[in-house]
Amino acid sequence: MTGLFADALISLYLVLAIWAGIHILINRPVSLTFAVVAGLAIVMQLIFLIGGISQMGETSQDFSRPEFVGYLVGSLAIPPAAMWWTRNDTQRTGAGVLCLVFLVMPVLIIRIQQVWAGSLV
Amino acid sequence: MSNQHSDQLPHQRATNLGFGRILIVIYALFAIAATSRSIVQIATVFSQAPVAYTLSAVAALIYIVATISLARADRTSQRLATIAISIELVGVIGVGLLSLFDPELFPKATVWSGFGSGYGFIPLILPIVGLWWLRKTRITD
Repeated sequence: MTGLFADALISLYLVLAIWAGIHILINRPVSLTFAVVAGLAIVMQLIFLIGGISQMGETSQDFSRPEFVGYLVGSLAIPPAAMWWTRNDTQRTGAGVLCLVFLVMPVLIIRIQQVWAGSLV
Repeated sequence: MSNQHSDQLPHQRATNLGFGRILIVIYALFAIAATSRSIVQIATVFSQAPVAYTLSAVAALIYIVATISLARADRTSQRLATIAISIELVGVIGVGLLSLFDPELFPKATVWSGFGSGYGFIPLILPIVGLWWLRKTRITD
């Protein structure tokens, strides 16, 4: 749950948040390239979920497993929902929504890591 | 989009446009987070802090209602959003005060404990911004 892959995913989300922030400043909707990179982040999030559940099955450490799975599944649903919600947005608010969501995603990954480490519900 | 709020007057701004879209996403994130956490708490450790965990479930429900009603943006939904967000404001102030003066009542933190300090005070700021936005986009006869 920790390590290079999680760090890469957090970094990618931060890049997407900054990228969306630039679109807010220039008052333009996000580009197709942005959508492709966001799609890559979603695929990585899916791999993170599969890896997380796989690791959960192999470990005997004490942590809240329902909360862990809940966070993994919930965090996978958020970026596609945000992309769908802003799909036809021609104003900077769409970029604002994406900026916010891609700032929240690293926090969620850190939260998943905290749950994995055994913090209480 | 216009067919979603056909009972609005044409010159009025809907709650789900512009800044409202960002507000809805924040409410949606809180709805997802509070609901998920609440389900786990009630299913696994409810007896440890029944008051706190019941309040977490109430908060989750309010966030869901606020999200949906802000997104729907018709006249009825605006009223519903105003009620839900007002309850949210009263809740976060009430629970904030109670958790300060009677901490034994909340042995486990809720989203509203300490005026939402665990979430960067966003739970306190959010209903104020929400009510401001509803007032700004209010549908009048």
